[in-house]
Amino acid sequence: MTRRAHEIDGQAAAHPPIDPDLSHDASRRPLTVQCISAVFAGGVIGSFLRSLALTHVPVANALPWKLWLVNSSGAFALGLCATLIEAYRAQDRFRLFITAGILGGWTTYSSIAATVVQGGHHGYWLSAISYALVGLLMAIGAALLGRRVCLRVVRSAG
Amino acid sequence: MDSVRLRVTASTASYRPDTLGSYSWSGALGNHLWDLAAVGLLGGFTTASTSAYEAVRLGEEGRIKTAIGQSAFTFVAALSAAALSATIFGP
Repeated sequence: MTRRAHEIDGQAAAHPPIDPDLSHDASRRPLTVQCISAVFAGGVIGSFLRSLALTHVPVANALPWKLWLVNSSGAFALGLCATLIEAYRAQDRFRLFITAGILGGWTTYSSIAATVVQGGHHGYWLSAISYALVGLLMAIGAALLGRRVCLRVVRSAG
Repeated sequence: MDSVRLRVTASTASYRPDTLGSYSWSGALGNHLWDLAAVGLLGGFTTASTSAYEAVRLGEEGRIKTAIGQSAFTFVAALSAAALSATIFGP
């Protein structure tokens, strides 16, 4: 087992931050122009792709599954990418480009909240809240799956 | 010109105290420009993936209660804020 995989198992003295947007070392360095630019560029890409997905993907049935799909795929990708970034100590601007930028732009919480409010306005509070809860659980499950897959790959590679 | 309806929705993206709320504006102008701005600006500001990943990481560290509390708080705060703003500004 490589040293990096051993650290990821949580047995090292220093634990990486919970928040994937934060740097893996303990120092809270101020954001550089490069990092801010990376977040901006990633956010543009992620938001644009989400807009395309939510607008142009045809709805197969009445279930509002598009937001589920967007948030779950984003959470899976974040579990994957954040674990890889943690393992190989990627540079801050690359990390921010992926996590805060692309995946932050790709996924959305405000759309879920707005959808629940709209459903409630039409008298479907229970269905709307259930929809949001299912989406939340799917996203957590997807993030867990992404992280587990990546950990297995990193361990087998090391 | 179609009348403009503005709907402001506030949601909190994370349990951390320094997280700001997010707002979305949706209006009918006949060309959906405001909707696109909301999708871009506010969709980009809020994120479901970070909240989900944080819950996973907290669970890995054995902080199950914190993970559940963080997810529940974010969920309730987001929906409550959205409902509150819809009540104030109308559907």
